[in-house]
Amino acid sequence: MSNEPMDHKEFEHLLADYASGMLDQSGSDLLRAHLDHCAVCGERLQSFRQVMLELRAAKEGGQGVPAGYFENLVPRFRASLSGQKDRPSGSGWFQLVPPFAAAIVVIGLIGTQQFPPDSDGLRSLAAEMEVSEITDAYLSEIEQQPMGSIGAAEALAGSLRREAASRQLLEQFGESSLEDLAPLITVDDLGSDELDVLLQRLKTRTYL
Amino acid sequence: MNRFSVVLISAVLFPVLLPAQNPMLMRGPAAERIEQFKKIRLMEELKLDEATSIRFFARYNSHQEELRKLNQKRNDIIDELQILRRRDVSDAEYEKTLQELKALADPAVELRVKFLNEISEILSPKQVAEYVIFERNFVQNLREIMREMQQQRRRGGGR
Amino acid sequence: MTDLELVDRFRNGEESAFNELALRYKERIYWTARRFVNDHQDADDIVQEVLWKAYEGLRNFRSDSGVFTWLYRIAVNTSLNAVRKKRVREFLHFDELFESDSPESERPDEALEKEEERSLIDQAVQRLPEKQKAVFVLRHYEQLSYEEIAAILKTSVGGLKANYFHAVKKIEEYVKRAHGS
Repeated sequence: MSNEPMDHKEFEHLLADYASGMLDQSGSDLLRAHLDHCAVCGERLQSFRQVMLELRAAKEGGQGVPAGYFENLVPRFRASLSGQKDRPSGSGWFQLVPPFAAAIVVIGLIGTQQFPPDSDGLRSLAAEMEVSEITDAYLSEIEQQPMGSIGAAEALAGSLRREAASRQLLEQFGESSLEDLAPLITVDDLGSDELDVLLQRLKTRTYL
Repeated sequence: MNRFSVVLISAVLFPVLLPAQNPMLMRGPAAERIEQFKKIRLMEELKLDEATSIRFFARYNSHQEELRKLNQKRNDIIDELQILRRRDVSDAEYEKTLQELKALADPAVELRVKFLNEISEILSPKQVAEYVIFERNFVQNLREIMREMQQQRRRGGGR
Repeated sequence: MTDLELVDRFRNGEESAFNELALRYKERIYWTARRFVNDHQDADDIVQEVLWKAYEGLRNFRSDSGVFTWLYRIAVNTSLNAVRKKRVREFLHFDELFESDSPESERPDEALEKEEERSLIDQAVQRLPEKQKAVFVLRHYEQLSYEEIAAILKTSVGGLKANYFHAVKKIEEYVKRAHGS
């Protein structure tokens, strides 16, 4: 803990750790001193303790893991390593996709829209990609459109190129970061640097 | 602007400085900073003097709080609908809760009209129009910037 | 034998070294995934995916972060990806576009029953925004320090306490609303 005086928000941010028993000694001492004169935090702490109790009860209630699951986990993986050339494509729904269906969806879209000059290159790129990669590209493109509509041809082409590039990145795994995969959801998800950037950009905009 | 006015304006502009019981504290810190920027910019755009600012933001804060409560009520009712679904209740039960939801439509409109009437007492019609335009454009600008930053993150140009 | 020693052995061709690493961390990987998707089958899919990615990526593993941190990062990213794909798929009704008679595909009413069986508190956790959920899972369930979480998520420590606080607050509010209090 730093020696700077803490503002109220910083005390609030200690409450969750304190309620879950994870706050260190110095933090606990500081917070307890604060709680002596802050009824709001006192009330919040009681609520948080209740939440922690319920979380513990839910944990202890059992999670329905089939018997023998952990014993078989690694042997199953080894079996899939030796038995399959292609890596498993994650959730079961990908396995439901007919091998060419997703490619057809994407290539069909390519065919119906205005395309950048190397559209033949795109078609062959799509043909080289695995089904799961094409559907990843498709999903990632759809996610970027607010209402789930299909994006412009160039944006879709960009998604395909990114998926092909990310295949290479997978070989050096560890490059992916939360930031790459997790979209901004609310302003509260912004880091302080990003918030500064946001505020700077807001300053340059016109409002009337 | 004398020191007293600065303190008074600050207290109205930035309720976060008020005692901890202020419900504004329920919002995240990022949203509050953005709200602070919004208010300062609004003052500049509408060219509000200190007296008018104080009166305007007193009404504005009160309006925001009423909007928040209405929104909370709406969310509570929708959560109730979810619970009803899980309990597999009769149509009559659904109807009752849906009526509560519909009943919120008029208060929402009334709140907005009431606020515009209140600020019309202290702003000129041109300023009221400018406020309405500002609100709309602020939300649009914020959304666009969030989208740009999201795309930047994906391209690896973020943080 | 340390994790790094196992990595070296794996790189030198000893497949059993990978097995040993997988055995060490399989349960933690599983439970991390399970906290994100709250469904055994989905969690198992994620674990298999994580093991594949670890297997493919271990040859180029750089030891600036520990193996444990690296594996966690893969698990969190893969879990978040799975959550996002599930959301998009549900939004677009992909299961209707690509119909299958496979017994593994879940009918909407079965999915709803599963949802109902989950406790209120589990539902609250599922509804957290992504970053808050990641921080919450790693802090509360995995009991990791903020420094460890920052290394896994490749983010700075500052702000993580606030993420955790807001996550618990959101859970509290959700449960309160559901109980009508």
